[in-house]
Amino acid sequence: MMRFLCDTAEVPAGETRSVRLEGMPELVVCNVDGEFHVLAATCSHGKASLADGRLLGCEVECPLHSGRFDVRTGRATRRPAKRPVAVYECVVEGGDLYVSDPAPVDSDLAVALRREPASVPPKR
Amino acid sequence: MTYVGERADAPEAAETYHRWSRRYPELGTGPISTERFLSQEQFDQERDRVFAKSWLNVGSTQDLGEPGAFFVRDIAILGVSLLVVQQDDGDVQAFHNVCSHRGNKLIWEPDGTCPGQFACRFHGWGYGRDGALETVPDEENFHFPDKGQLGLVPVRTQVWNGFIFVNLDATGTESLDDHLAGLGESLRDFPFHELKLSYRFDIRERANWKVALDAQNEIYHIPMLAPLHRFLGTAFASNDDGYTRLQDFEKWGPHTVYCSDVDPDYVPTPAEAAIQAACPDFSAPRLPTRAPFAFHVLFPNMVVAFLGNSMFTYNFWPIGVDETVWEIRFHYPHPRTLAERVAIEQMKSRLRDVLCEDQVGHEALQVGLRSRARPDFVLQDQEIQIRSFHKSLDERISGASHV
Repeated sequence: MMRFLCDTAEVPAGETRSVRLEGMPELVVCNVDGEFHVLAATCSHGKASLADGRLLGCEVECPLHSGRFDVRTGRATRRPAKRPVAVYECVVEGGDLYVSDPAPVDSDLAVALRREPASVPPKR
Repeated sequence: MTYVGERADAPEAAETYHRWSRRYPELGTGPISTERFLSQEQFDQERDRVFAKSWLNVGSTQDLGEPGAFFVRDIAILGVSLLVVQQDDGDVQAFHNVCSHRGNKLIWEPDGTCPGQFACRFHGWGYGRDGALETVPDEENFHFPDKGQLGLVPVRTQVWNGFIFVNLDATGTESLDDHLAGLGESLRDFPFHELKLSYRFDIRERANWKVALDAQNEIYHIPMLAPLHRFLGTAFASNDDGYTRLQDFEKWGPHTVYCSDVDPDYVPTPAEAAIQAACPDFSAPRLPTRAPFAFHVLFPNMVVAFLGNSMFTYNFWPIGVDETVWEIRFHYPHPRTLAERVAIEQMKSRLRDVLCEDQVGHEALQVGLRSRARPDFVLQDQEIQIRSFHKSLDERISGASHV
């Protein structure tokens, strides 16, 4: 299901914005040179809102510990963040931004969750 | 060769909490007091019962090199100046750097080669490199019967793997080997001579020496300390949440070692990738452990650490309660190509910046502690090394452990 998220004019290029929809986690909308990306806003590491962070090219930076995520895939690109955040499909229609509810299952996050639990072989 | 990572007991699950405090319950789980970083009384006890009685690393045989070569080492906390001299037979001997005539500081240069005799600037008394008094101008006008009694005062000196140690306790009986015990044994076969001193930083900082040592004696901070530490490389494994995990921690008497494993998810920086491509063989680790990072704390104030293909040493020299000189030396294999030489220069600049980040942190810690806002602070399981160090320090001060 696609739900109305916000007016694209509310998120200028190079900026982020927090949006809350009932029944969904806080979302962050990122405008990368006119291309919109929507992610779950809570950092997978420090529990801060990525909406309060800087958008640097295709990466959003957490304001708490400066971990970074690729807004296109949700992949953590800089420590201390290591786990991905969920990415939501979105479409622009007539200046309005719509988001899929729930997040699609083929995101990096879904891949990570399907992965076998991290097994560190004993070193001795 | 003994590998630090090898232990006989059963492996533990990687993701259990309190792994190390369960293995070393005697180290406790309580807080560390703030006052031990601020109190003059604590500092005085550390001076009298630890520094004045312990084997202290004052340099390396790489600082010497030929008979008669010397360096001067002033140890502020003990109020002594030492003259460390390579003897004709290759041994190294330290003396109090004090002329027997009027007690003048004998040699004022930081290092050099003895030109036949060490001559005092004041009245020209001259000493051989073995410390014997050889020349006394106008000797007949003195009253002493035998100038053989007036040589330089020797200090107990022993060398371990090229590292020169002294012990100012003239009555002490513990040998350096006994002091280093299992730690010395674990590194016995490592070819230290293959690694050459490449660069050195001496950082004077406004922090207690234990603040500086403690801050280095854990890797909990590595992924977090910004902006540079998180790019320290592939040697710091973390769990799925990005929290570092020690591969091993071991305690030998007052000494400790912790190791960290390879981080398979680390993405090299562009500079790292370029250097790896330019000199692929150079960066191969040459380590005494199976881990890419191993940090040995040689009680009380020395660190010998291995990171990738390098070895670095730290010496934390207390100047006062809140002032320390942090001596840092990096050693690499001898570079065989221009690219390898460039790689060392690149690491020098890079680590200098990282270490500046540390220094700022040490000084900020001291500011926070000095406020006495809290009477103590807490440590987690990945900081067990710090717990161990402070327990060893307390034991030395209280006399609970032998000296």
